[in-house]
Amino acid sequence: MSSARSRGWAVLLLLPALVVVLVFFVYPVFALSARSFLEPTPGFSQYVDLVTNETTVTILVRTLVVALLVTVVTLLLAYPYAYLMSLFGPGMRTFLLFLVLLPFWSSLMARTFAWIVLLQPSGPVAGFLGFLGLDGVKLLGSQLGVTIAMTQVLLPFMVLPLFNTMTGIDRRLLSAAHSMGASRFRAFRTVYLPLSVPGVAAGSVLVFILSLGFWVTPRLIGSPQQSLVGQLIETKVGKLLDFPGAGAISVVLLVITVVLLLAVGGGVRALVPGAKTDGGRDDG
Amino acid sequence: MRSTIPRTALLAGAVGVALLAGCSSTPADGGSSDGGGDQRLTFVTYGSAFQEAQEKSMVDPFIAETGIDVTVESPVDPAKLKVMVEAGNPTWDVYLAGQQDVPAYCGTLFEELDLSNIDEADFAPGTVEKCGVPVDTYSYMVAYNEEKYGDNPPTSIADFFDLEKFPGTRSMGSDPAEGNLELALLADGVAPDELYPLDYDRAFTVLDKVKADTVFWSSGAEQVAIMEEQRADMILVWSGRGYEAVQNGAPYAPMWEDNSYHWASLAIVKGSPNREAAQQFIDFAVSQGPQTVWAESIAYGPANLTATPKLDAAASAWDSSLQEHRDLSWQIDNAWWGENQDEVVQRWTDWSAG
Repeated sequence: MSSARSRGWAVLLLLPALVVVLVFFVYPVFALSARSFLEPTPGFSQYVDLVTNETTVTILVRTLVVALLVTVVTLLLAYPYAYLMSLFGPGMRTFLLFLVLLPFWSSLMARTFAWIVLLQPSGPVAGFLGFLGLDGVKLLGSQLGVTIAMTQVLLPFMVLPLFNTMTGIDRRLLSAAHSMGASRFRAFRTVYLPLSVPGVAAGSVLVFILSLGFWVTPRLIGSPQQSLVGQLIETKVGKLLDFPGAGAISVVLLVITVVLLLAVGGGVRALVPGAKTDGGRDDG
Repeated sequence: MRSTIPRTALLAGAVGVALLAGCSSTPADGGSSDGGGDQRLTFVTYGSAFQEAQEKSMVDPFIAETGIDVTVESPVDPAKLKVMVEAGNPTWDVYLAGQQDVPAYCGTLFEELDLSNIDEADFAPGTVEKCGVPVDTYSYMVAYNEEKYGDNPPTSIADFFDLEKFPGTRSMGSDPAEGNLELALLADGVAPDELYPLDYDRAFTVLDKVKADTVFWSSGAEQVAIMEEQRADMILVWSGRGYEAVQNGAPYAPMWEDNSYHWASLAIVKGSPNREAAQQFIDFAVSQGPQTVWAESIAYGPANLTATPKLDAAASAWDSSLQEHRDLSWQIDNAWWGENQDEVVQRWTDWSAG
């Protein structure tokens, strides 16, 4: 009885957030999606236009490729970092966490403009590459520059879920594996790595989905040849005033995101049978 | 004085309307935020130094003269404008419209104007339209790096696209409305009066020649940055931004040959509840006095050619309204653009992002 009552109160506490989400998220998304099916005539004409337009398809594919690339690079950078964080004592761990969180405390615009300064032809990154004998690498206005900047911006979103999962892994399991004769690598590969999969999945999904919607970074650092879906939607809304067309692309992105979430959620549960007991961290 | 209170009230009203629309999906009657009696209007413009110069030259004197309360907002946003007009409750009255927007949205997003107080002879031919009166001008033109090409400067737009005669890097706007396609055609020998309908394929063939060596900018600030960092040896810039970069020490010189004469217009938002005040404001803003102060406050030209700004030599060198510069200019065909804007943007996007 009392638990049902307290649950009632909890729902009441949820109400303000729920109203905000309904009014400012669900309703606009629904309205925009609805327009993509209703205009100019009810049906799927917007979606037919979308898949038959070569540019739209190119940009969609490019967005998926860039998102995948950024996800892989952030994972490669974040995994060892999070692993070290989980090994160190509280002092060092706080310091490393501080370094990861630092970008969170500065605005995305400030960081993007910092990258413009760093990546410009006379800038320090080009200077360093020149020092290594790599002259004339185009950083600003290129896919390379966009990928570098996006990776930096999204790194915390990979490190934090990984770190979260890794702190929950019982390191005695590794000792157990060693005592059974496993090499360090084997113990890592067969024991540690699978246990860290929920973190890898959570971080990857987060970074991938955020990459899909990136707009500021490719717009400011890339040139039109690197434009991603966000910029296409901007052109459709801001220049062509084509709300239904923009809605159609948004719906496609939304569908990709939902499918991905379901697939990864299912995949993790299939791969790591015990994952569900791991503090529920895999249920993203 | 302009007060910020109406803006807050409007914002609160807008949020209220959004909440109502979101919860019950009944359109709000909207009567609450508009008081009767005192006249007021909301003018939406570009922001930053541009807006400050407009406030100083047009808005503040207008308030002083008429007592009509003007709220200035920024930036302009065609998408927001469309939503407002569709919702039937625009909170904007006067809109600073890009020149192609005027014919494109005349009658749909903009009201037809009362031109009885406007003397078309005071403005460049073809710039006064049914739904818009020009309020400022600039040129989209070549600026070249003097350190690179100073001994043998470019003398026509063809030189911009000629990487053999003028090897180096280029920069241009990422918005085709600046006139990139037209400039490519001019470079290829098309006469200014034979540009339309645009031959897309021919234009893109010319643009392809420099595409790989071109940086595309999407804002005025970016143009200045590119020149200051010398990231492009030749750049298609807005005249005012070229002047700004040179003032900041960038080693660039203007090339006026084939400059594209641009303007922005004042338009009245369709369904504006303050049409009369809006019309009064437009008549005032484009008149000689405010236009003179305007041109002296910022590196943009006056649209009203009877204005008599006093500029120093450095500013005159980049002044798009100067007769000798206008003699070398050409103009985008707004009427054609109004009808074909969607197609141009689509083709341009296909070329630049595909």
